[in-house]
Amino acid sequence: MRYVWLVLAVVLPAAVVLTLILWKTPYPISEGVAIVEDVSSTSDLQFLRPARYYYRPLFFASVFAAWHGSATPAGFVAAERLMMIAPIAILLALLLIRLRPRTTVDAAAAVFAFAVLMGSPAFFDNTEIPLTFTVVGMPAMLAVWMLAERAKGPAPTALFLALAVLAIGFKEQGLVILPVVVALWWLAAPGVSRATAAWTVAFGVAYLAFRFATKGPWAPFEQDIGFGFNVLSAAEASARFGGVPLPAYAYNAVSTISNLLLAEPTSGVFSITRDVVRGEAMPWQYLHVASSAAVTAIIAWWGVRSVTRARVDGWTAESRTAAVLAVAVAASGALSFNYSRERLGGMALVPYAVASFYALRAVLTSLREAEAWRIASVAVGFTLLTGIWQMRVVHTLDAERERAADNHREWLTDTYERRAAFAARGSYLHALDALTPQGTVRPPSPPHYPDWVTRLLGPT
Amino acid sequence: MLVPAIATALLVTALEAGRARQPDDPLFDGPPPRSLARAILDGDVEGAFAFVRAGRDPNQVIDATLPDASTGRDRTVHLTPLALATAAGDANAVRMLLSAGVDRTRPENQLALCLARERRDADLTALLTRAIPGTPTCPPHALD
Repeated sequence: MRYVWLVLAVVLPAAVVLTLILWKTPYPISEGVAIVEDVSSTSDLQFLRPARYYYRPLFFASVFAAWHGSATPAGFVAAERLMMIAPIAILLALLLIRLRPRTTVDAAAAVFAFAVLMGSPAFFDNTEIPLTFTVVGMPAMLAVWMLAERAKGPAPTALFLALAVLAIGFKEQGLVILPVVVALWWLAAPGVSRATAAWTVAFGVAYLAFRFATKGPWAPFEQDIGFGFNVLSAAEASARFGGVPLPAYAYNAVSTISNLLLAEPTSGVFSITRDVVRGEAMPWQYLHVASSAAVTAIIAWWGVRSVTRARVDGWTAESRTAAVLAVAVAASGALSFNYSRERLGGMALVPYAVASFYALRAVLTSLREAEAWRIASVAVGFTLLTGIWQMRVVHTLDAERERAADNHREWLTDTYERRAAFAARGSYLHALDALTPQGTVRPPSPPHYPDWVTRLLGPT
Repeated sequence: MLVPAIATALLVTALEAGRARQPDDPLFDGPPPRSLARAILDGDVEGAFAFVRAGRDPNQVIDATLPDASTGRDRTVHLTPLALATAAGDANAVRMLLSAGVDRTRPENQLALCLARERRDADLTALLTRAIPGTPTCPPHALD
């Protein structure tokens, strides 16, 4: 238990600071007020209609409940902040329980896994108030996985399905849970029964049938897509790829996967490669790519070794992690076919962080019989790698602060024009007026580091 | 390997403690601007808004020093914050002042539209044309 406390003590400062930043982040005017407008009517629950491309009934229901259930706008904002903080806290707590370090090596690997989680853009991009989408699915995914690995026999099917519905209801990236459950059953996870696997498949088929049966007129591309070094608007992408969109869909899917595994491209744009080609790359860009590639390489080495052993000795919780990661990465990529964004790797980030724990532990354990020079060189290498990932965690915190500062700035500068533009939309103006006071309270700004620090950490 | 993680935990804690003790430290928010005019000229929208929020009348004429485009020398001007922000070409400050509710019917504020036209600033001209009612009569040189 003392190693759990050790990991907690090391991870807690960043987690607490993240919570404090989120607690002081203004509810945004951009997108945020429009979401309130969407739920402002108590008679027309249009957000429940499945014809829309983005179907997130539970997300909108949560905003609906917060807006209509809060006595004051300040109460609503507090509820929205809590709805972002709570899933993050649950995710971090579940990860600690899942890893449950029992040795010094475990503790070092667990701290590393937390840094991989919190330092990844797939984490940061999912922590934007009020967009509690995949950030709900991430702890749900981990909870499902932990249920599947519980030793005391199969867990209730209803629990698996409830967690899947929760995740999918907030964002359809939650669908990643379904193939993961089936894969865990296939690999003899003790907590998943055949009935659970069957119900999961049936639910997945029924859900997809429901979505396609009720779908409206969807465009080939809903948002801008990155392509090579450039960004194409949705209209440009439709004009260029609309006839045969499959190659572009495949590009988007691979981009999301590559961003998670290699930190490049971002939203489909090879921005770091472009900067390297132009001789404009900053140190942080090299560090992000190198640290992501290093973790992915270690995971690949460990994954091949684990699966090879599992074929002989049988599957364990550790070797199943490799399979869960592969399935989650593939499913996350497939679900981001329409456009690639960092946040769309969120569901796969959870097994990626867990896999980094096992991989690092395997490396360190394999050194027990090694020569001193080899141990020393690996120790230096991993200390550097851990340091870079910790810098990425600090960057996540600073970027959260910058996001809060941006929200505040937009409230100061945008209200006049929005009032004019939405003069005919009473619900919008009502929400805008109600939320203006909280938006004009200045949150703490990110630190103003010397240039050399910014070049190492990355711009906010 | 735990060393970088422990160092980061200590760093993050120390930064927060430092922020709580000295929020005006240049590492964090920095000292507040000396005046509303200074904040506008420095492009510090948050700093400028802090004056308005604290009760400063955004319609009141203020003194500021601006470079004269024709002579290259600095000159002192007496303008409302809206006109000063326009003269400085700071669209964010103009938007902030409009959002803060400056009186768009006052001639001193309507001068902002004249300044935007004089600067040939298409964005600000369009924004202020929409914001300012009627057609203000502009002097030959709005800053004079």
